[in-house]
Amino acid sequence: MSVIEIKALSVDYKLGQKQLLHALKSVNLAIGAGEALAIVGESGCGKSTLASSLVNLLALNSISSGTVLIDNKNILEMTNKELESVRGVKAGTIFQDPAASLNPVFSVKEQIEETIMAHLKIKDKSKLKEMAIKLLEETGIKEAQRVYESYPHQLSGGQQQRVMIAIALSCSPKILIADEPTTALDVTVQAQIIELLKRLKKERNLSLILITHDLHLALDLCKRVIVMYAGEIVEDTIMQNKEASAHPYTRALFEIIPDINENKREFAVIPGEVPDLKMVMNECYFKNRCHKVGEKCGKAHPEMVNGVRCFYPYTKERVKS
Amino acid sequence: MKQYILKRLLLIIPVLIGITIITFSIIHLTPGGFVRTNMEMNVKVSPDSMERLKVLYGLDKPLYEQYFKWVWRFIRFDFGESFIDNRPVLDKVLERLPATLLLNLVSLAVIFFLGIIIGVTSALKRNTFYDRFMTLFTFVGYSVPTFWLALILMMLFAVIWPILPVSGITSFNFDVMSLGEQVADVIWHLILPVFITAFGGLAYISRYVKSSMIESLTQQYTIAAYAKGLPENKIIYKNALKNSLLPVITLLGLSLPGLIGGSFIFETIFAWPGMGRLAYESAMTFDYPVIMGTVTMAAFLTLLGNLIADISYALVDPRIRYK
Amino acid sequence: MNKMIMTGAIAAVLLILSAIAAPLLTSYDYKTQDISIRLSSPDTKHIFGTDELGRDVFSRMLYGARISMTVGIIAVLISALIGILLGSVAGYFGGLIDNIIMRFVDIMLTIPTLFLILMLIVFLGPSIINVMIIIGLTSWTDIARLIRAEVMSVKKLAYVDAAKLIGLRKRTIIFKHIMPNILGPIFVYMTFGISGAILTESGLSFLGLGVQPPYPSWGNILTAGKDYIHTAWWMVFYPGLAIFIAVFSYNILGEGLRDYFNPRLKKENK
Repeated sequence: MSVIEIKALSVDYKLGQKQLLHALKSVNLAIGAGEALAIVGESGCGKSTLASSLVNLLALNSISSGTVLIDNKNILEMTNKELESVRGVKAGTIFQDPAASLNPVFSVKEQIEETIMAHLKIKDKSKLKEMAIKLLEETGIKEAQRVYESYPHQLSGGQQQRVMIAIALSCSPKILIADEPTTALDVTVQAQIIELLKRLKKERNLSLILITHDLHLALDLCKRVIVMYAGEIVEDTIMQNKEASAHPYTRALFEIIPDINENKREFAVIPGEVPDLKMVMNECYFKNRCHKVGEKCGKAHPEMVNGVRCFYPYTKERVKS
Repeated sequence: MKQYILKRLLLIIPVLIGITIITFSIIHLTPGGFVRTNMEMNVKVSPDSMERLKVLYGLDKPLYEQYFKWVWRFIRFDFGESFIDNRPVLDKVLERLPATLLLNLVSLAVIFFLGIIIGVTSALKRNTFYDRFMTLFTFVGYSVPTFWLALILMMLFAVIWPILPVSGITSFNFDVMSLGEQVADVIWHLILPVFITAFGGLAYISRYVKSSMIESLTQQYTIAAYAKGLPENKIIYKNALKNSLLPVITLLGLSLPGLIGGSFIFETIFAWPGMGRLAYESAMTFDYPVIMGTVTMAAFLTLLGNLIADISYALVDPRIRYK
Repeated sequence: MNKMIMTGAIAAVLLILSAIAAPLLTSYDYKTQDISIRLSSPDTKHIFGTDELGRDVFSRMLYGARISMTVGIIAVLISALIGILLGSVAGYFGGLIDNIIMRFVDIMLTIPTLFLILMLIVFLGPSIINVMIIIGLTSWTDIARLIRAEVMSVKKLAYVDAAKLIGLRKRTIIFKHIMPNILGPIFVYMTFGISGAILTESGLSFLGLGVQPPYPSWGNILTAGKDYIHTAWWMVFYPGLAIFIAVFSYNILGEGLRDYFNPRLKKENK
């Protein structure tokens, strides 16, 4: 039973006069209840657009087609009023930069409680406070009372992200969308937030959708990894390591992960650039950067077969369960 | 917070010193000091009051002594006596102060009230006909010479359609009115001057509010507020609005010098018994002590206004309040 | 955006041209009095009517335009010169020098400009030259602050560092490398400055503190008109309209230039 079902989702951005940027090209994806899924890719691959379309936070200059079904209702066709009963209620969202996502002129108290009031229609002040403090404690904040009364600028980055998580979970959604939740944080804090997400996922049986450019983080938190390239899903696999992946792009992503054990000075990068998203081409978009490029790659656009969009995939190693 | 206010208060000192230096230098601007200019230009000044002038500013003393004397007067608001009626300058200025304050504060309130409404609505309806119309409307107000608009409206209301008073702050029979009637009478007299001042001042504030509102609406915290599922009204009129209106408080202070400065042209046209008109009258009669008094008072009011605005901003913005 | 620049520029140029070509556009002298036709309403001979001394209002406005435009432009040049100098020095050197200059700006901002002008005029006496100088001396703070901010941001750019490495003198750096980058904002400010100066000059002249008769200025034609407000509307209406059109044109031009030099990306999110 899937909680979110995406069918043939395409999103274009209008760029000036009559120019379109094809950010998502006919994406199909079903996310099951309690599933943890990571969407990975380089910047500009469409992963953030995909995340935004889940609760329809797309920019005003976007045109979308296809469907995003949550509880069998199409998010993309909903009015703002209808969306209010999905956002925060069925799916909570946390963002990359917690400092920018929290409103600087409202206290933590106000920002948690306004969400609860909007959805659960609770007005009793002591009840609201009790719920807010409980949420803050659940996200591992030690001085919940102090944080509750604070303003965002008085908190550390880690605390801010915990508050964001508390807000996102305040109305007990079954889905949590985490858009690069640790990118803006210090390394030590990153680890804590990841642990927190793991714990919350388990305790609340959440469907977790993690958007990240960091394959390590993806594998740490999620079993299923969706790899995106040039607005398309190129691989959708249950994987734990490089050998379990089949697409040359996924393998390339594995190779650029800096290895702490090796004493390499340089930053590894995938050579070449992400293709121009303004064009639609009848070929493989990864062709020019690919190790395994063959004659088919320039002649036709590959389809998804067994979770891989490639004419010459690597053979996957079996996942040991 | 306390530190912020203390720092803000300390900043006043160099500004005050600066004001004394500028005003002092202007007294000595004309070659040979202003006493000579005085003789040439003003027949009303008798040799007797010339002597008094020399004593007043200690013009026969060394320069540094003159300056300290000036500062000493400045601190005590003692600007000497008027050349025209020998009354203390401070008394003359103070009795004109309420009318100026009344006109400027009411105008300021109207400007901010309408400016915020126009700014916010234009931000929400940006690039529509309404937005363009409001931009043009406020822009015309900004470009129109207020004294001309005042004359045109006086022409209209005094001659063609006499429903609004065009001069003074009260009617001729003010003394025999009841208190309620007196209040109504003053409000009645305020309508035209306030309308004209507000028309001229709207552009600045509405433009500021509009751009700051658009900025708030595109911030990450607004997107996050949508993601929380808050009602759109709450997002716009509570979350985004508070962010864009806080800095407007400091604009209150910044728009003061323009308003107060404009008041001498304005009060003269409308025969408004305020400080601006006093400054103009004393300029016309070369009543130097009174001119110095009004200029200093105007600077003092601006300083005070800025101070109040900055401190209130510190009080309402949590980023400064809890530092 | 370009429409604003075009409209404003055409209007501004037309105003300047008609001021220059005043003798060609009217056959009346601005000083010739003719009491027999005093206060006559606009007709085909005197299209804007005549004033209380029988002088042609249209001619007086054309010659007034010369004075108002000159005062506006010269005053702005003076203020721009002071502002650019102080602003770039403050922005480039920073530290104590910056602090002193900015405190001075604070002080200037505290004394309401018109009061300061009033005081200076009383001490120096009203005349065309004095009005230009005084407006210039009192209106440089905005441009100084602007230039300071621009210089500070340009200073951070890499090529200025590069110029320093080559060993260019500081003054060379300011004028050769920073100036071209801040010409845009300077143009914008000068355009707004001209409209501001015209407005101030007309206001002062209107009160008898600016351009003195017999020289005509839009402001002092209005002064005379004020006394005949009930009988000779044209003496009030036309000169004021001219001020409005001049100020409006320069403001539109400034607005257009500001957009042109500052193409902000319009990011609009839900």
